[in-house]
Amino acid sequence: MSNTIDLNALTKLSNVFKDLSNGKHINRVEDPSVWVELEEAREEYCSLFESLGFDLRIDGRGFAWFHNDEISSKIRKTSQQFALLFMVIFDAQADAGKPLMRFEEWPINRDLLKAAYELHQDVLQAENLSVDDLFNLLERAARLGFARNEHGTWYLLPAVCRYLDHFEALFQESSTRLTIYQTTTEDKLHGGDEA
Amino acid sequence: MATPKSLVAHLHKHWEIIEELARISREHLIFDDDLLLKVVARFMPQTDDEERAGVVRSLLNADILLPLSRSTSVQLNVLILEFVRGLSKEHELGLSDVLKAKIEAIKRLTDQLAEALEDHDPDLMKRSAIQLSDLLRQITQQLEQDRHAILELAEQAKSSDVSIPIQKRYRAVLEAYDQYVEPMNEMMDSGLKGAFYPYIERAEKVLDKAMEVLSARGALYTQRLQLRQVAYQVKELRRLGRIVAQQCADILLPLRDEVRQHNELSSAISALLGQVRKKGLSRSLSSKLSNETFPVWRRERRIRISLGDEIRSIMAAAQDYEPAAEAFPESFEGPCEGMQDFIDENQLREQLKADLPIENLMTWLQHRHPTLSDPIILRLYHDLVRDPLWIAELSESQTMTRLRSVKVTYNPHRLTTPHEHVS
Repeated sequence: MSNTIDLNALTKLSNVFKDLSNGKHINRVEDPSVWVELEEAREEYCSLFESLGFDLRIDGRGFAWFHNDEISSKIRKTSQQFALLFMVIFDAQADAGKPLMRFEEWPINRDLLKAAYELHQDVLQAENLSVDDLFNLLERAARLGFARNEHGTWYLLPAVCRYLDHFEALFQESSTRLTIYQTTTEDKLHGGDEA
Repeated sequence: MATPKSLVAHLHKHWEIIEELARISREHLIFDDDLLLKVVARFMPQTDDEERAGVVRSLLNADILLPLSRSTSVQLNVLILEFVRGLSKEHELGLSDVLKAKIEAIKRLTDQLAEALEDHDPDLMKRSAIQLSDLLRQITQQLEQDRHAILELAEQAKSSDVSIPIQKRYRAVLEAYDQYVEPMNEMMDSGLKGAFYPYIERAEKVLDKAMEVLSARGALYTQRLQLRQVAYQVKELRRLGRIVAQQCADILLPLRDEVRQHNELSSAISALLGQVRKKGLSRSLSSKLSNETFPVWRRERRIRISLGDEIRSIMAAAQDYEPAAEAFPESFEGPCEGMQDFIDENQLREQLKADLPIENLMTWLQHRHPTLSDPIILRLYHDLVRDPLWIAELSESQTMTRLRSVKVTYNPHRLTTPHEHVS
């Protein structure tokens, strides 16, 4: 690979940088022309940003962001609230028989949020979140590239997959832990018999 | 018992009604009077109840509808049902066992044909060829129907129609995959397990041989033609089998994946919400192992510095600044006062160290620096007795020293070096 990068070829550079450095996730479906360049000039973008100290991550499912290992408590709190928002939405949709893997197709409006709120009122109240708060969270999530607004209706964007991955990872972990506990208990039982 | 011609005539006359009955027969195995009248009314809105009842009666007479014993309900004639379904491609998924059995039959008929060839039995050959041709046609038809059924399943699974619950749709997909596609794939496997291709190949071989033999013997043209037709059917079936198996897998595999992912995610989120209820949001979402997947992003806080209006006034003041004229002091000759008060304290300490032991610090100071002013002497005395470089012993007797302007009565200090003091 050559050591020079032709900046003129990266026509979307300023847009890309502006969005990413504001914490916004770039999604293929929302900005196809930007995405095309990002994918085609992937190496150039990655090495350019790397030398400036930014960790660009591109996910094959169609979203990209600047990663950060040092997490400020403010971002952590925001992210946790987003996680809860998505959890209640997804759970409500699963109850209603919607296919979860097609979350990008769901039209999200006030009715849906109200239904999700009612279903998980105790959890949301414990975290001091009202229906209006959920709406505000959704707006903030849109500013960060997790959702988009089309004529007053929200739609989730592929970047939400980051949360889905995390949920599954946590679930896997707790399942593994349970298995270990079970095995340990069985061993103890057998150990007791042999003694 | 109705005549076939009458049956077909009624089929033509009331096609829409019969097609609708075939469609709903998946949900309604039997029809009662009310349902029948409703269906007729839908397609013949201008009629009254009498006329509609008449239509139902004529369908019964034509054997399109068959009465059930010991009941007033009726059922659609199964031949009609299959025929209509075949035309409108509303198939049920065929059982893979049935298909398997038919494919086994290929082997049997091929053996039969080979036997006929060896025994030079033209009648048996003819019969075998016809049976084989029939069988191949059936199998081809079944495969086509199954392909359509699977397409329909897939479309239903993907549809957003909430009237069919998603678990039911997904279950249908999984069942179809397990019960049909898997056995099909096994059968069509090019490895040891797959029976399909070996049978087909053998059938091809036997047919080719038969044609050779017949042309050598100079058999009837029609017979050779028949065999060639069957051989062609066999080749076609081989091609079709491969395509259908592939298509079915292509259609169902992604859906099967989607089902699996949906179920996993649903369980994960459900369990996680339970955790949040018990442990709170923060504790539920963080864990040592999955810290990597917790979504975070980088946010540059751009610090903007903007100048306030005060700076303008400062700038204006700076612009109009006129330095004030200060008179520079004139130099003049005169006595230097106070120069004698300068003392190099380091040097003083060196001198003192060199002169140790000193009996009376006050007199020593006075002697050494006679020009120093009294406050300076007293200040130095005060500092030097506290200095850790030597030991200062306070004498018990008082003494008096005359300084430049004052008389001091005090208990003098004797200074010694530390090790001298010890000894």
